[in-house]
Amino acid sequence: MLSELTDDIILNILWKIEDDPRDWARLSCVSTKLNSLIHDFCWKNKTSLIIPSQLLVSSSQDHSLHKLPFCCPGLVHAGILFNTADSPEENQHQQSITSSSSTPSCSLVQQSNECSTYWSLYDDLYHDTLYADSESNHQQEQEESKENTIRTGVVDVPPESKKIKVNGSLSSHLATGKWTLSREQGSKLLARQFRDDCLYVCDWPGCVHLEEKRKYRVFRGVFMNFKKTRVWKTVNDCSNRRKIDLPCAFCSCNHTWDLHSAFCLRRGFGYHDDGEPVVRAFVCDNGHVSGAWTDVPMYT
Amino acid sequence: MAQEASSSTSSKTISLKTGDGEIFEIEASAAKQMKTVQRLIDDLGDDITIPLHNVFSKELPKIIEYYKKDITGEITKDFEAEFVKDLNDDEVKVLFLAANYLDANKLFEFLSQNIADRLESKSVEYVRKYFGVENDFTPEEESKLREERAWSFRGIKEDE
Repeated sequence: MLSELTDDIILNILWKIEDDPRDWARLSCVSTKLNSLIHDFCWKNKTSLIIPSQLLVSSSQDHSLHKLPFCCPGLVHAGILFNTADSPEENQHQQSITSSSSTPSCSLVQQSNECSTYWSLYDDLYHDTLYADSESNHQQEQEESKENTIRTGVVDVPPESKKIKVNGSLSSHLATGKWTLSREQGSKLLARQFRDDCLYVCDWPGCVHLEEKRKYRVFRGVFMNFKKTRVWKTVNDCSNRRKIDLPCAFCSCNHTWDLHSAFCLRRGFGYHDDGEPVVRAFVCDNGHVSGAWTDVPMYT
Repeated sequence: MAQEASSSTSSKTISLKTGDGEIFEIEASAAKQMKTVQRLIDDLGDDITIPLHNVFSKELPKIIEYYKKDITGEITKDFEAEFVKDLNDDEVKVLFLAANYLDANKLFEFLSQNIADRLESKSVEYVRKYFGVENDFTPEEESKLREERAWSFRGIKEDE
């Protein structure tokens, strides 16, 4: 039937499936024709409404940019499941966990099975994961969002098999919260000396994940003209110590830079009692940023 | 006995002949809503049976039913829901293509929305089957696309 329809007619149908961004993303896998229509018209139009124009103009309009407003990197790519301790065993642990390919869903299952002798955040996080849904932009959830209801998704972990179902909240998934990006949010993150760098981050509170230990406000963002920023110069000048095997959620970069330990983030956020930083952020070579805010500990 | 230039009154009916040879009557005011029909009337006159080669007796009555309601201003959400309720995907497709051919805009828009609703949250394979398209990506291209879009394959309801 598709061959009988003109592009206008197909687009007319596609425009009517725009509420859930996942539909367009999946529809672009149907055929080359749908892919080019969705890329050239649907995504382009939609992102022009939510991404600031200076950023649009300076970026290549590929799927990374189209996906950024809507796709939460998940706990994986925000580095929350990444053990950043420096001991040799834990380095080995972090290597084997995160040297997975950029499709974390299957490979993480295998990796975590191999690492079952180590304690890791996986064990805590894979049980009773709550997925908070506040300030959602979804049409069908507009009534719910006013009451800030919480959607509960329990990850089942049969202890004997240690086969872990990696649900949406762990790897990248459709973000709750706002789908707009602003420079203002980005500037709240960066240390003063980087104030001239343009970092666009999704509007507050990002995609909220309620975990057993604490609440994570997972955010995503992108630097404009990243290779010309001071942040890039800083991370690039530092030794490879700061570069970690944590793949980017938005492109094919297999490693990212830890902005926290590169002192690019605003000072004073501090740490929790268990050593977790209050804020963390990771940037890839293309300037895509994934990270998470947590609540500042009340008693320090 | 002289014919006036535009003699169509609201009570006048037009005869339509489907591609499989059946004849249906439609109010002239309803025919006006289908631009293809109206163009044919303008060319051939309204006393002649208008041939519709690409529309068949299975779907034309349904289209006529829709426009009968339209000219009396009775199209409601309930009516539209009822209209498509028992139609399977293929029947909607056939109606949609007919509405496109007839340039019947209101019905066309309504059916576009209905098709969109039917495709929401469906799998890639389902949509391919629905549109009758082959997968024309190379395995490498498809693999890359799916990897980039892995986020969108989560949390989707299964196809019925």
